Amino acid sequence: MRTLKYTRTTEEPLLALRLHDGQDTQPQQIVAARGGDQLAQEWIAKRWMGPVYRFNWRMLRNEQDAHDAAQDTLVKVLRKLHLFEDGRNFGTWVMGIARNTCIDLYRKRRRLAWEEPGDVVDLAPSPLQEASSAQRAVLLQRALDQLPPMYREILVLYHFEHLKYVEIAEVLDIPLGTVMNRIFRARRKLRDAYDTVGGEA
Amino acid sequence: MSEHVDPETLRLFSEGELSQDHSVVVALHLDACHHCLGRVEQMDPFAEEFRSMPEPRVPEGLAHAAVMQARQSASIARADVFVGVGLLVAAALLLVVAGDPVPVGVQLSVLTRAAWAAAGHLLGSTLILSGGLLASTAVACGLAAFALRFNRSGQLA
Repeated sequence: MRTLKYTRTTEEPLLALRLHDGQDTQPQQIVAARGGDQLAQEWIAKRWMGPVYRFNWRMLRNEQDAHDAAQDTLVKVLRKLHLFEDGRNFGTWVMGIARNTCIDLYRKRRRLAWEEPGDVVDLAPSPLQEASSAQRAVLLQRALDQLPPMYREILVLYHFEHLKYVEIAEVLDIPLGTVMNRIFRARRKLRDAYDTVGGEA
Repeated sequence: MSEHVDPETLRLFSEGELSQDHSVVVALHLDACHHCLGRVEQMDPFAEEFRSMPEPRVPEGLAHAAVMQARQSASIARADVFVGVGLLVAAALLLVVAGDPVPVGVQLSVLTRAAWAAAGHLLGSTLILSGGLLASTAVACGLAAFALRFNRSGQLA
């Protein structure tokens, strides 16, 4: 998942390195953690707290909720280690639990469906080419916040956590074809929302 | 697809204009090919903005707090299993020592209580653990009270 030490190379100027960073959870650590080894449990919690917290923070947009959901997720991960099937991708298993925990909290807080139809399509021609990169990032964040969660989550997993397409399919538990359809729709909605917030700014 | 994807296909892919099947083939290639992935990212109008968005800081001690909470709930679960097993043993002893069948309702209550304990332990669920502890105890008490209203011939007392 997210690389901790990414250096851009000249051959790949815009490549967001998506491969694992060599610090992935090893089967022996899972076995040790299952057996109650506190050091192994601490290692797993520290390794995965970053992606889990960031995902929740970007989805819930509230520090306290992100804190609660992230802690709850790692408690579940450690308590359910015996349910993890060896040979599967541990990272996508953890992120799947993070997602379910996030959905539960989201529904509890806002009483809204994750798949709510919250179309933000209101085309307004405003490319904002003069705005600085930081200003555009602020506008993009506002546009992201307007997307229904089911579209926002797929963009968060792709653009911020740098998951591969097949990993996104595992986390969301949907076929790869559905991932592709959803991510294209999400990008279209994001462009529309960006134009809208840009027009208002 | 071992060769690199041609630029026009990548453009259509990034604009979501390919068929679903074709998109899946390209996506699988991108998952394994940094070169083509880099080119697709160059076509992303928001690539720079995504990179300049701030990263949230993970609160210190959160990972440790999760480990402590998990260990605490695990020990509660183990204790719950002991309670369940202890109740089963007690019911069996009553059968043997008292030489008098324990009312069916009491047996059922004990089994219910033990089942909740096992479910909470196996599923690793804090909700089942805490909710189950209260619910199963209430069910056990209710069943026991109901059972005690029957005499040995099965008539209401």
